[in-house]
Amino acid sequence: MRGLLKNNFYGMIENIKIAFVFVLVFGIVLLISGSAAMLSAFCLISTPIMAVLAMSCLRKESSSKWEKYKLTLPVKRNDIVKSQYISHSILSIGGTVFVALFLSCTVLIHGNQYFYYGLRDAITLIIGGGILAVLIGAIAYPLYYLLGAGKTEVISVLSVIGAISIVLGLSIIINMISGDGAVSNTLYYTCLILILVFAIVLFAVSYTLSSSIFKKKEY
Amino acid sequence: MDYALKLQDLTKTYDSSDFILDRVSFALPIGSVMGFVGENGAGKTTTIGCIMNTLFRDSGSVQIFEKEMNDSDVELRESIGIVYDGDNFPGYLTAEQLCRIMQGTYKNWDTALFKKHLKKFQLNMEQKISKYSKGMTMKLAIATALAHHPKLLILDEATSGLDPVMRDEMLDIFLDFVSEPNHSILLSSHITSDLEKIADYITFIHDGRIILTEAKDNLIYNYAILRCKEKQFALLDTEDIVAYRKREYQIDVLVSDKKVAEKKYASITIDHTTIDEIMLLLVKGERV
Repeated sequence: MRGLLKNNFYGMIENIKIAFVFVLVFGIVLLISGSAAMLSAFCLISTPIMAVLAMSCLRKESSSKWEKYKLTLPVKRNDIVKSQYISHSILSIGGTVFVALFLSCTVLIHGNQYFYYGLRDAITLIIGGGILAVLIGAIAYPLYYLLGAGKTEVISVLSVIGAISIVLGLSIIINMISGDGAVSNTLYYTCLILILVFAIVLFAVSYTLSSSIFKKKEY
Repeated sequence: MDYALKLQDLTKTYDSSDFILDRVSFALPIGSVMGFVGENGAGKTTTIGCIMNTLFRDSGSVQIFEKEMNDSDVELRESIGIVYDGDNFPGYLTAEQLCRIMQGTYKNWDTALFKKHLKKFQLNMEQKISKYSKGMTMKLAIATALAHHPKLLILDEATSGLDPVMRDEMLDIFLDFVSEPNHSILLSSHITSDLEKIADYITFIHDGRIILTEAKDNLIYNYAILRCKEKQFALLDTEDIVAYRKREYQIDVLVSDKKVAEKKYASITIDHTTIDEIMLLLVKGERV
């Protein structure tokens, strides 16, 4: 497993460097400007960008016989899929931590002029990006193993649209259930946790699905 | 006899093509080199895919060191080194990074041995694989396959991208490998001169079927070609004919026992044969 994770890391590192510079510059501009709109965009975009990078190594691998070669290594097919999900999780968590750091610094520098409901809004922004990242992976990987590397670009777009749709759909359902009145902190955090748990469960189901697809895949 | 590899009635079909790997059977004794020869598209890579489980067979059995290998047989895969034709590894990696990946994958990965091979092959550890020539990538793949101390090497057209000098060096490395006790090689190739140099056994595959599997010395010393006229050909005993091919002025007939043929057909010119010629007769010729 260690070797597979290293392989994924080497596959992603070039793109990570570029994305990291982009996100870093975005973060620094945010720190300087203190723009509220920019803060929301930064929080919701940065983590999914990092997560999409985890998928980029699959595309790069497909140009050689490496996908076939990996099956001859002393690893199970399941481990190959698992390593991809672990890499995706690491990048999603890393992106979330990165976002949390910049959000905290922005609030420290410019004061809390951003969050009407205080901490819960900040947590929503931080976790929101993470949830999107997890959902993108949950949709993308089974599609990748089913359709192959040639469709990576389409899969990336579909998974981003799918993840946003799921989050919006869940939010609409929660709003309908909670009604028009003010939502208490307890209810709000419960809903947020439920969405997070839903995303994690979907990620786990996606892993099982990807594994079963990959077990039948021929190279 | 113990076998490193034993295939029995291996069959594989594809939904998207008419090609059929049809009941392929052969066995590679431990300590020997099997040349697996056939024209492009004959089924060599499909057979190797079924051996390594990158392709799933429809029926038949594949035993590696007397064990059927399934996905969970990680230990068995530790003992196999594989080299495919072309780009085995992604171009964005360096040999150094590949070494680290393999270190985290194989229990017996030998970094010192890997570096020794790379030095011998004059490959730069820090250079991206995408910058390597085809010959260099093949050398890297061979170094990688050897560096975890496998007992069985499976080489799928591993020498095809190399110039004659480099091919010769590689063949020497394979001979070194197989000189160690219990080491075996399955070498798929259409370069028959390579097989003549190192193979102990040769298996011919054509259109997804094994058409002959034989000890190389038997092929070289006992097989022969009769250069017949039409009338002479008509008098031949059909049991003696392995395959024949009609040429412009003569009929070439492959026989499996030169001494018997010399006695029986004293008036016919009988020539020694080569693996190349045998393959041509088996593939392009006809059977009785």
